[in-house]
Amino acid sequence: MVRHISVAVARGTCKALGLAILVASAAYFLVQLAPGDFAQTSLDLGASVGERATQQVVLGLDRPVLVQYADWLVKLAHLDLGDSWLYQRPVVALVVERSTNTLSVSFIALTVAALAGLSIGTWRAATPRRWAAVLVDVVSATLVSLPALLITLVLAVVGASTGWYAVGGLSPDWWRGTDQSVFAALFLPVAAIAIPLAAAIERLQSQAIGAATSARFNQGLVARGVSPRRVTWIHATRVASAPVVSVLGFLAANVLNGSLTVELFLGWPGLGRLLVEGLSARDLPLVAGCVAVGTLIVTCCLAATGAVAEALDPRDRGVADGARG
Amino acid sequence: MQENGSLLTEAHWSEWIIGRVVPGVAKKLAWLRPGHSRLQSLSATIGVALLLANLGGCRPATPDPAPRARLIATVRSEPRSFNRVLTADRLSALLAHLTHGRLVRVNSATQDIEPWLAESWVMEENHRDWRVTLRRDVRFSDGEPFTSADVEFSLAAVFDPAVGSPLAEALAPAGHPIRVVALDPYTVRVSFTASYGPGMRLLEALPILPRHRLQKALSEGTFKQAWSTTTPPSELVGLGPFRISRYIPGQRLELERNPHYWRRGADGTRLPLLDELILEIVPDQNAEMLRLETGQADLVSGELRPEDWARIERLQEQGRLKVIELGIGLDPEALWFNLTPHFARREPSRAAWMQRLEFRKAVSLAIDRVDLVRTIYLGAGVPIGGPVTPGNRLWHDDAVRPVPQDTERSRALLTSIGLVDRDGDGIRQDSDGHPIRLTLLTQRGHAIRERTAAYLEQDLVKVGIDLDVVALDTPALVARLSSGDFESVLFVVQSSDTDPAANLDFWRSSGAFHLWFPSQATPSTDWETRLDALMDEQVASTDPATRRAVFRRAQLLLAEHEPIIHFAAPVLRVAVSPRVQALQPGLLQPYLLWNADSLAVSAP
Repeated sequence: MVRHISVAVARGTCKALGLAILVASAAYFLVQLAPGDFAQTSLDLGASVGERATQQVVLGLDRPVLVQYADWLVKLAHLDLGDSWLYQRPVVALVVERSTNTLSVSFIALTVAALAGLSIGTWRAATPRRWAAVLVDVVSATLVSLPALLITLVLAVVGASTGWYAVGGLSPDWWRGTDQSVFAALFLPVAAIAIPLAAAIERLQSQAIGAATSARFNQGLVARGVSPRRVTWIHATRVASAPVVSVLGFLAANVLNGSLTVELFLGWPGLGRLLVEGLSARDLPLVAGCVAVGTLIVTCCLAATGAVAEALDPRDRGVADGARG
Repeated sequence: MQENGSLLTEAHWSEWIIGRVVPGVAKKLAWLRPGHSRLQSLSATIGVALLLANLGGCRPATPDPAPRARLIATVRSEPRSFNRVLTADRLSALLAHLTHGRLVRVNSATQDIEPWLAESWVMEENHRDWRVTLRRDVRFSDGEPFTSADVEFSLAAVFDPAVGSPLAEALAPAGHPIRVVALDPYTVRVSFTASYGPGMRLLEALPILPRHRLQKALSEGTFKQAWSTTTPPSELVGLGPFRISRYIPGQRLELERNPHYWRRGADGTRLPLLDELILEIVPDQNAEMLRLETGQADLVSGELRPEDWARIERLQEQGRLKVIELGIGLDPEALWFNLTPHFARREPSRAAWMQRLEFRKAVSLAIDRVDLVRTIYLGAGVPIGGPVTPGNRLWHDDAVRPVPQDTERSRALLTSIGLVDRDGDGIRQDSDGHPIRLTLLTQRGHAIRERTAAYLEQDLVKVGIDLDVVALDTPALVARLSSGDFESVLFVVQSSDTDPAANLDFWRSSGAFHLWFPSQATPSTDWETRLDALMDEQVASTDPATRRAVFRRAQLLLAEHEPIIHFAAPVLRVAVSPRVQALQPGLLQPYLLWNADSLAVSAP
């Protein structure tokens, strides 16, 4: 069993690292292909050919692309993502700093969305009132189909006209609660990410619960006199949560996507904004670093939810164990 | 920052949540779990309420006993270095205004120079040297005195070949660096190699650095690493009204008042009036405007876009914002064609018509500038006929008039160079039957430029020229321009100063910003030879009247040959919070923060 787990962890880690390197390499070459380079963007339009050439030599952009790439790979093997050309600081420090901001918001949003989505979804599946079910369906379907940008915009307009919460920006002391209230600062980014997510989770959960409640073993429980409410909230929930949790991994990956829009629009200092800044300056090490870390985060989310789903549903575990013999 | 306002609304939120939402939720919880007692759900309710109250208001409710005068401005980009000598971007220029002193200051409101760290100056007999008396009792932000040695040192740092400072060009008229010699601790001699019209104005570009802090780095060759963004702020020392107290990457730069700042207000009060100046880093213009609207920022870095006006005017009526008109912008959008011989060699058949004067004239005549102002700038602008807009008080000349639309003459000119619509499809062809189709590059994401390009396309098709607008992101556009790989471009060139002598790289054929054919070894045309001579004469003269007369001739010569076509200049407006007092808006960047030492904020 322990061997199984360690093998699985080792395999998962290798897969995640390999994927991160692969995706970051793709980003590296794509930025190389885009017209213009950092030497040009960092200098003025009127910079002489000589100045540009000097700058290119300083950055190593005068060498063949493959040589530059090999150089980057060697550094990566030493866990060094290089220095950002734009910020003149190590990419690792920058990426860690910004991804903390992204992850904290994403984590809070994901928790809020999961709590809201799961409970509303379960309630929706169990409720005997038809009109309530239809209402939840309509609201969820609407929220799922709205793009994150639109929700951000609406929330920003409401915030701007009422002054209930801050529209963007993160006070550096938010965690101390001294400068600007945590609630006011985090409300908009969390809500903008959580609302469509909660709706998606609700859709999944209500369908999964519906299927699980009508499953034969639960019908059996009802026949043996267990109250329908208990069947829904305890027995069906347990079975239904496995598929929902595994999809949650994909949704978590999606949160990173959604947070990009929110970060750009609200000026939230996260990974997405850093990536866009790096791209528009053609800062190769920075873009590759951001993409590598983003990929790692996504693969970790997927792996973690996969493990949780397996632990939750005894049938999956049994099948897996049986298959391994 | 409306501290009180946000406190109040938070209180409302908490009250509302505790009073309405929580009991409702509790009721539902009780309904869901019939086995649970009322007491249990009550305790759960209290727990949730406490949690929420804690989240909402873990901040002292009483305001600070002595509120600090704090102004919050936004900037678009992140600092790359705190060493002004190494960087030339807009944020660095702003930080230099705030944290460094200069010998002279260009007053952005009057566009004239005024004494700053230099108390007075006199021109010497030879018309090339200036004897400059420095202000006494001036101290750096660490308390060390400022002397002539600091001026010498700063110039040495700029011209050190190992440093390669982007500021060097501005301090070297016609490529000859100026020299500074300290005559005594409070007198320096500034020498030019030739007589130079703008004189002391040039020294606006030189930030005065603390010799006692940076001498070691310069002599050891580590100056390029000195004062990076990771340097502790306590080591960053200057003569400006503020000093950097904290930098939080991606979020904000915090500046505090320099306790040793030399300047006093008219009534003798110590400047600056602000205790703190916060620069929030907000890359997106929409986000920036939102901060301003909600009172999270007091002023923003850029001018208002036409699409913001309606909303901002409504907010002004409500008293939440104040709109300030700066005047007519100094840097108008311009269209130019590739007039280089390189292009002529690559595309001889196209260059045969594209590089002709008649073609440029026809394009210029085809555009209705009055309607363009109405459509693109919603009426807030003026048609112009050259690069020097009416916003430039000293150098604009009414003799340079905008070209009025005349489609008949435009068509006649095109026909005269053999461009005729032979197949009746509305687009003219050259003598080989190739259609007159041009690619116009412009900047993607810049609404005014993209819309102007579309407007030009629509006016030019009426005279039989087909324009293909291609919008590129800035790096790609700059790459195409630098490599000369373009047919025509609609873009803008930022002028360094209102004085034409500061923009010789645009006017002279050898300049890198002589956009249509930059960096010419010798002038390629007869009129460019004349233009070079006029500009040289203009720069060398120290008599303001002569300089103006000669520059008028240069402007008229440029208008006659129109290698670059200008259409309109917008009226610039900015919005600020009504809290900000003593604003002296100017047209040069930074529009409002150039006199940050005199700005004040009213009590919240």
